[in-house]
Amino acid sequence: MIEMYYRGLLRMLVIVVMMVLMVDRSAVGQARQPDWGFVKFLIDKENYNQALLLLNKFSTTSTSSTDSLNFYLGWTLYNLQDLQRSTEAFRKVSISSSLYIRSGLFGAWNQAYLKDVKMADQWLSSLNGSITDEMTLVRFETLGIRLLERNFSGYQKIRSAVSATHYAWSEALDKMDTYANQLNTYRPKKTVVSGLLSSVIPGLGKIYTGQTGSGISAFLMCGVLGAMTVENGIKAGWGHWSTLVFGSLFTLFYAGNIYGSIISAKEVRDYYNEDMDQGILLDMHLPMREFYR
Amino acid sequence: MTCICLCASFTAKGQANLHLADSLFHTGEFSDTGLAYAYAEYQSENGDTLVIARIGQVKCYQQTGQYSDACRVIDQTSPFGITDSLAAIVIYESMLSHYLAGEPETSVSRYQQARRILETSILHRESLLILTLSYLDSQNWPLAHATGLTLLSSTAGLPFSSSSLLSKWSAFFDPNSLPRMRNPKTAQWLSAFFPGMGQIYAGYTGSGILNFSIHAGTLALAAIGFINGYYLTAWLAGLGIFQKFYYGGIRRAEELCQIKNRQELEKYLLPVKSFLVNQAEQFI
Repeated sequence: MIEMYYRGLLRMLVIVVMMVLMVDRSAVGQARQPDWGFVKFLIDKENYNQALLLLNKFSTTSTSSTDSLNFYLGWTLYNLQDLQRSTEAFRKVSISSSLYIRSGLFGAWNQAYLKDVKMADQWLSSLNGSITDEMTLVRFETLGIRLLERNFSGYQKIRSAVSATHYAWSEALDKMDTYANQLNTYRPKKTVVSGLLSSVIPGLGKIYTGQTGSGISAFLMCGVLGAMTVENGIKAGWGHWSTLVFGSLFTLFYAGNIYGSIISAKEVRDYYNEDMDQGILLDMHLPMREFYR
Repeated sequence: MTCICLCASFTAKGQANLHLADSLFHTGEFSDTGLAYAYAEYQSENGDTLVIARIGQVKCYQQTGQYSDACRVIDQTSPFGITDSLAAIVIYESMLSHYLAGEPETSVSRYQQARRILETSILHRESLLILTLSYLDSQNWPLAHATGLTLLSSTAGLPFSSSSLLSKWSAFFDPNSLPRMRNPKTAQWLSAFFPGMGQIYAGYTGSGILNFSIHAGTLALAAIGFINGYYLTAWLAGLGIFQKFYYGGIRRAEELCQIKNRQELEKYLLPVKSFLVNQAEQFI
């Protein structure tokens, strides 16, 4: 018992001494600041869990320290892919901080990735800085937001204000233009047409939506069950139990084929949109990483 | 940890940080200790202090089960440009981390890269233990046998060592004692030619009989259908169901074979590893 008490005491003493040592003592007479160099060291070495442990131990009083703390917290959580908490930390960085725009850019991207595109747009709109390249990057990110909203007129309005001269986004800008063109000319398949086609010929609706293999499979299944129903009906009689069993199975698969065709039209549309959104988010993300490397 | 501290020369600042971290290590608070070692690495002013700090972090990761993080940190540490004794520790920790992370081949590779350093170090026996365990996990029986013999022979002269130990160890590698591993491809081929045979070969007789019965049943239904003039029903339903079970049975035979092999291996390795580790504990 006594040994455990002294162990606990030793541990407390060591932690206090460690915290004192980790604080930067370079400026005599000034308030002590956490050692941000050590935090950056941990992040650079991808020791994110250790960085998080350290940041949670710090408590700051000055605005600049609090801003740095929130930024590094946001950055660490972003690297750990905890985007929700990362966004909350980035939000707390004040407007007077030199890290404000950077926090805003990554925070907005986090929100766009978490499918809160409206909030991401509001955040980007509120960013106002003096560095020209940084503000061009903000406009570039806003282009991506317009595409995620499928607001093509809004996209064209901002497009002229973003030049392709900076290496960080010159390639991504071409891709954004390609996405805009593809999304603008995309014509989704209609669920009603798909359902109607499948009711006439089982599987045709799925072939219409682009799922040829699935359509052929549905056609064969309905065909097989239909043929067995007819054979049993002719040989055993239309009221015979085997005819009723195969007839019921045929009805079930026929109805399922129509339902499946309607669903597949919607799924194909959703899949296309999801695929495009992932591409847009990636091409929004890479220029930011490149710019702040 | 004492070994690590004796192996390097470092500045007063580095020494203070490392001593603090070492003190924390014994409290069992490995997350805080890992952080303390990371700080010691950050403050280090020479290569040896940096390496010792990294080794400390690796040990903390090992204690908390974060083996992939341990591998990442130790792989960043080059065993060149430092003393041989420290290099031996780096290589040994790399072997141990990769073995614990389920990468026995990498562990073996680390040993082979730095064999000369390890053979002349005080960690030779420990590294032989990890090497033997790695060979066992890789199912390399001849090398596991040979390395284990080398390890147990190296204890000659110690109070607990005897020739019966070596005999007991060799008995594990007798051809009749080694686990009988079945070939999944053979199981697939057997089921392709005779439904259910692959499952029986894999050691699952009941499953094989059931599989055969289902095949026989569907074929019988198809035959009855043909005899009674229900050609489409017999062809499509009877043979259609037969075909599904046929291909499914082939895949299942392969799966069961792999499951059986894993069970046989676990059954074999448990007593072998227990024996080896129990003996090793006496001299490590």
